[in-house]
Amino acid sequence: MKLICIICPMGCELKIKQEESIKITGHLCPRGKQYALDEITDPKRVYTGNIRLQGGELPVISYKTSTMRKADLDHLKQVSGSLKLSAPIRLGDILYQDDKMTITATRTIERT
Amino acid sequence: MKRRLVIIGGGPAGLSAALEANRLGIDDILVVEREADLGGILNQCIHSGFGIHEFGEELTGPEYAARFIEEIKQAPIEIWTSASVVALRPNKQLTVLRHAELIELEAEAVILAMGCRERTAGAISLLGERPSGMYLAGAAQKMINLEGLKLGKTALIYGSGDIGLIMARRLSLEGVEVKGVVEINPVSSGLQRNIAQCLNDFDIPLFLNTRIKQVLGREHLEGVIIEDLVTAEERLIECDMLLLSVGLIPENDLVQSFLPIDGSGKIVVDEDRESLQTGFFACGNVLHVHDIVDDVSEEARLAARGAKHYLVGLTKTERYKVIQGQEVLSLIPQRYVGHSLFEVYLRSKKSLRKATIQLFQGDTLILEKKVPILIPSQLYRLKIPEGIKLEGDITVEIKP
Ligand SMILES: Cc1cc2nc3c(=O)[nH]c(=O)nc-3n(C[C@H](O)[C@H](O)[C@H](O)COP(=O)(O)OP(=O)(O)OC[C@H]3O[C@@H](n4cnc5c(N)ncnc54)[C@H](O)[C@@H]3O)c2cc1C
Ligand code: SF4
Repeated sequence: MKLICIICPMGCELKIKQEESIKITGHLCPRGKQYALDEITDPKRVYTGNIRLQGGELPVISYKTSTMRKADLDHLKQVSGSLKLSAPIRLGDILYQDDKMTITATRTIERT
Repeated sequence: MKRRLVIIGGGPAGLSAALEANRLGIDDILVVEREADLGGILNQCIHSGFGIHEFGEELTGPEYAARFIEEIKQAPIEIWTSASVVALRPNKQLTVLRHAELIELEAEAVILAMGCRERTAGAISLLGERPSGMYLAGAAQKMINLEGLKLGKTALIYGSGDIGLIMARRLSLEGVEVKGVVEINPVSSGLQRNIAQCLNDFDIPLFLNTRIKQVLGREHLEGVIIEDLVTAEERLIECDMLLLSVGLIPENDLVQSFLPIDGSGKIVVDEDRESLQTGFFACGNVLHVHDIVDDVSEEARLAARGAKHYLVGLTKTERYKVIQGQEVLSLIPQRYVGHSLFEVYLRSKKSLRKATIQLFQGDTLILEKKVPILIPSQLYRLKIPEGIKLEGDITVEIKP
């Protein structure tokens, strides 16, 4: 199986052989190997997006998640669509946290 | 009003140039930014992928910008936001529109950092009416990410560069059904990782060698007919939104009338990013479109150093040409002085595996570099190592 490593912009092409044991080649650094292992067992991602916000200079606040399971994406969509937030929010503020993910603000939005 | 150094544009290029200029001891620096916020295009790039070289970690666009903005607020640098430079003259006089008032400025040195803008739909030919629902990808990115707008339910994207790919993922996460990304070329010009994480992750098809033939719908977009250029097969894709991501062009209108521009539309500069009109410097996307913002910040520091040399009165000896040889699509700088080490940034015309980059002085081969892969969409940086003494015009060539 072939995969493109998405951990950094090098975008190494990883080859995965699954015989008695798993063999990974093509990575330029160890993070690529871990990525490939995760991809075949339980893929992980960092997601970014927007959440609606009341009373701010902008109607939305941008966020990023902690590294989370791709399988929990629907949970993220559900949470980010239902959070009630209001300004001000500071860059780095934790907007939501549970055992699956942490959502952090990636900019500052002042109150209008 | 007089100023030592005026920087036009407060995006990553302008911010980094201003900080470096301040660090080098230039006083009386003014940054003029058209928008209400500093940060340029980074404000709307809420995805992550910025700062790996500059900060050793992957940041989102607004986070990357914030690092520079924090620092600039602490520095003795004057910032005008919601202020546009509307005219710039060869004698370094500028007209700025600020709070509905026109202000005349006189600068000793000017750094251009105005970024780029999107090629419009007019640049490509499409049959059909111009119904609503068609957007430039970057404009749509701004509406969705900064204004929180919903633009449609089903989308098709034209152009598979990084902006197109990033928008495909963005729309999917917003609940829009993305029916595909259409690319006229046989390969995507985006990063491999973006094809993996933006398309494959969301099962979005990539139609290569395909063009958009016709847009359907009178008032609002109803669908698009695409044509496979190899098989001539046509198919209808129903969608209420079409994003066009067909390229970026440097926003250099302010200086086009008096600064020499090369055959690919770039301001001609030397290794200090100084144009052929002394005292005018350019960096970031206004000079050439960068893939990675870290390179923009780095290039801006070169321009700031150049401005410092100019302001303390160092004059340059002759400037030699860096000639674009075969298989080279474009390069920067197009001139060099040779007073310090420098790099030639280049793009190849074709995608090549195992190519050799050669640097000639006259007919003599001076430097040869083997590279495993060259892609037009990725900038290659050719370092000219210490110990190589260049003089006279040089040519850079790519041997497949
Ligand atoms: C959609 C998209 C995705 C990207 N993704 C990545 C990524 O994942 N990783 C990465 O490293 N890089 C990425 N980049 C590239 C990076 O963001 C750019 O290369 C970088 O922002 C360019 O910086 P700049 O300062 O040259 O231009 P800009 O950010 O465009 O800033 C130019 C500024 O100048 C101002 N200006 C223009 N004209 C005037 C005037 N006449 N008067 C006053 N002000 C003026 C503008 O308002 C603007 O604020 C992406 C770019 C885009 C568009
Ligand atoms: S393997 Fe390492 S170098 Fe290659 S893309 Fe992954 S993280 Fe980057």
